[in-house]
Amino acid sequence: MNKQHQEQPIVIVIDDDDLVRDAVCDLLRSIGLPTKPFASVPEFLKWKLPDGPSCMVLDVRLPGLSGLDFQSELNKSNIQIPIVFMTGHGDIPMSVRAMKGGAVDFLSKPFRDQDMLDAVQAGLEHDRKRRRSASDNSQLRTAFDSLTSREREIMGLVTSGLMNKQIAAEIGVSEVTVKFHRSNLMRKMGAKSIAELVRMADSLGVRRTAR
Amino acid sequence: MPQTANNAHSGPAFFAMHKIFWSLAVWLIVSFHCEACLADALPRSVLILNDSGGPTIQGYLDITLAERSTLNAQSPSPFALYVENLDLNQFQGPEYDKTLLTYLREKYLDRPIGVIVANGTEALRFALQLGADGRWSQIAIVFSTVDEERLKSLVLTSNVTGKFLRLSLKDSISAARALVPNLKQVALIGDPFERQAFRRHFASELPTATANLELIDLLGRPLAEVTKRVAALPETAAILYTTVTTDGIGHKYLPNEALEILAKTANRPIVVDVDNRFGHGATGGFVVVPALIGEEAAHLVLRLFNGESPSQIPISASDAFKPIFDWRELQRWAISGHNLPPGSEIRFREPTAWEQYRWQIVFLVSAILTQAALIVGLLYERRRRHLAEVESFRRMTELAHLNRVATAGELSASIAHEVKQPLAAMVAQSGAALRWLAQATPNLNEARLALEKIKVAGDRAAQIVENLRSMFRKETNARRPLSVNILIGNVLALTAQEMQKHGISVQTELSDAAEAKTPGDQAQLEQVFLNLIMNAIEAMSGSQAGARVLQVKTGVGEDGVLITIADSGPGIDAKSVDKIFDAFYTTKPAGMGMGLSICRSIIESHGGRLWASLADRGMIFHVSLPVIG
Repeated sequence: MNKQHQEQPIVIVIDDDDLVRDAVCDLLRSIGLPTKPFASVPEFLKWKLPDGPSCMVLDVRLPGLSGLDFQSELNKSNIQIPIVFMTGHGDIPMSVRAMKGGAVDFLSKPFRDQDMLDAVQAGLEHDRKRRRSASDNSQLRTAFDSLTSREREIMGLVTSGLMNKQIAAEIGVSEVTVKFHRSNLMRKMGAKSIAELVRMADSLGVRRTAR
Repeated sequence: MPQTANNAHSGPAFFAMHKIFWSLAVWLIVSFHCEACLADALPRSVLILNDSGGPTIQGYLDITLAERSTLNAQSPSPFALYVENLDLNQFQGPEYDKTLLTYLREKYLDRPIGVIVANGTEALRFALQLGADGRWSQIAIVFSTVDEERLKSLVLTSNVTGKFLRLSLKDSISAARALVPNLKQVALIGDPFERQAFRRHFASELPTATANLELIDLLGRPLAEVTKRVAALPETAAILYTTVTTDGIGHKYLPNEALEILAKTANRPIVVDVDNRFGHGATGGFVVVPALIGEEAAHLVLRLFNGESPSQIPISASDAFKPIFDWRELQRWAISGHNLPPGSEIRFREPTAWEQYRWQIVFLVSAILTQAALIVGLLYERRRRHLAEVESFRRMTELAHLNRVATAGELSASIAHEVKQPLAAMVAQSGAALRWLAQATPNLNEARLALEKIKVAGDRAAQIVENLRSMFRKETNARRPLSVNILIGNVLALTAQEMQKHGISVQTELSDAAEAKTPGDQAQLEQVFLNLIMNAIEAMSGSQAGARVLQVKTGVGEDGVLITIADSGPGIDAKSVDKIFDAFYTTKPAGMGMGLSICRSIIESHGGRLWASLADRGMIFHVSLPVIG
């Protein structure tokens, strides 16, 4: 986690107007943020996104694919990158659509420089968190994979709120056997309480919903 | 018949006593007739004796001709007329008289004469000599053109009657007053009066006639001196020309010849008293008219033939005077005809152009008037047309501006975007610059770079504002050479947002050949392209099918530069293609139908053409504009 935190962030700036693109890059550079400018979406798509916290500053109106459409495309492809939108003439429907699509902010040109910096910082912070939670999930999955099939079954039933006696009746084993498996899987998953186990099951999507 | 009469008159002696009663009867009848009607007994022949031959014959010739014509006109039967020009003023003396007498007596021996007419004093004297002898003594004599003084010196017999001529200085002065109303001086020119047969009495008339007048007496002076004097007469003077035959230094002249010389230098009108002075520089006066003299004499002759005896007709002054003036001379001295004596005859009057060419003038004037009216009418129409054109241009400009304002409204989002771009860049760059400077060790290099970029952005903002202003300004701009490619570029930049919004892609082919300069009003031409492109965008945004592509091409056309703007919209009904440029024709639900009409007006006012055609998909608008050179 510490290592990830120190990873170099990058801000991607996409605007077909070179004056604006330059200015945004220069502004971000002035607080020490590395930037990568692009004049259009296709240009950006040719580039390989480095592994690290990133944020995208995107103009709404772009030649070819518009910024909002691009956002939808990214969401569909499950590419999660925080986006700060810029627009020359933002209208409310447009900003609503952008924010629903998960945008960090929607800035009208000419924007206050601090607003842009704040938005980009917020975007980067969000991305860091996302990356961190993504990495937590992968540890959980490894632990979950180490469970036996009986243990996985019992974890699903425990986290759905069933008592040991009920579980024993459900799978046709003795209550003692259930207790044994339960302590084993708690240990394997590293959960200190049932509540923690429930959160883990939620993250893994293995919790059975109550009938 | 005359023979018979003569015989009857002196005849009875020839008849014997034994002649029968018939003879007595005849005598009685004849003698009765003799007393009652001598005229019947007169031979119907007239002998005219003229004083003069030679150079001064003209006056006598005129008199003679008048006598002849009057006699012929007023007598029922013809006369035998004999004319003898005796040349008595050149050939004088008893020997000449005697020769002439013999000659004439011999000549007319077998030609009985009824009446002798003597024209001139010498002719009368000679006629009296002729009558001194037997057969001629019975013949009646009628005289004319004889001056009164000389007449007194002649011994007249009872068979003589006639009219003496008395020229009047007083009449000449009154003629001078008619010509010069404020007459103060009179210049008298001529031989001394004692040498002038017909004007000898002027000397005694002079004091009365010229009372209140200053007399400039040039009588008997050398002609050279006289010509100088008459050239320097005062305004209020007139010249009285009598007659010059011999001047003060003995040069001989014909009277009219001297008059001509004088008239050349004279600075005042010349009054004369003899008819034949006209045409030699005379202005006018109460003049003796030869024709009138001839008529007077002829009338006396006729009276004699009608039976009156010469003794019954008293000798009297001739009345053959008439106020006559020369029109040309009156013109020369600028004298109006108003003051001339009543009954004046104006000679040599040139008919005025009006009198001479009345119908031509009427025709010409009416033609000119018609033409002038036509020209005035045409000028008026032209003026009206010009005003209408100015008014229509003004309205077109106004409409065009309204259309621009409307378009500006439609494009307001795009315009705002255009302006905000550089503003955004400036704000961001200035934030960057401030941060570079705020660092512990300020990064001056980066700050300077940022400031430079701010300057660039500021310039661009200014350029955009200027472009917009010129595109949407109200007043018409001066025509100047423009590049169509640049205009198209401006319009495409302005509409880029709009096209993007509607998912339209633009294909441009701007030919270098279209860089040729087109003289025009930038705002108006950009408006045309803007309208056409906005129309294309609107047409395509409504359609569902297919790709939305706007094609803009420039190139060389027949008349200069050709711009085509093609859309991939639904197009229109082929029948409507010609109508779309009509005012108030529209295919849009909210359209005014003015846009294309205005576009066409603008292009035509630039000397170009705007037309439309249908493509497989959508429409193509063609703009042709002239180029310089």
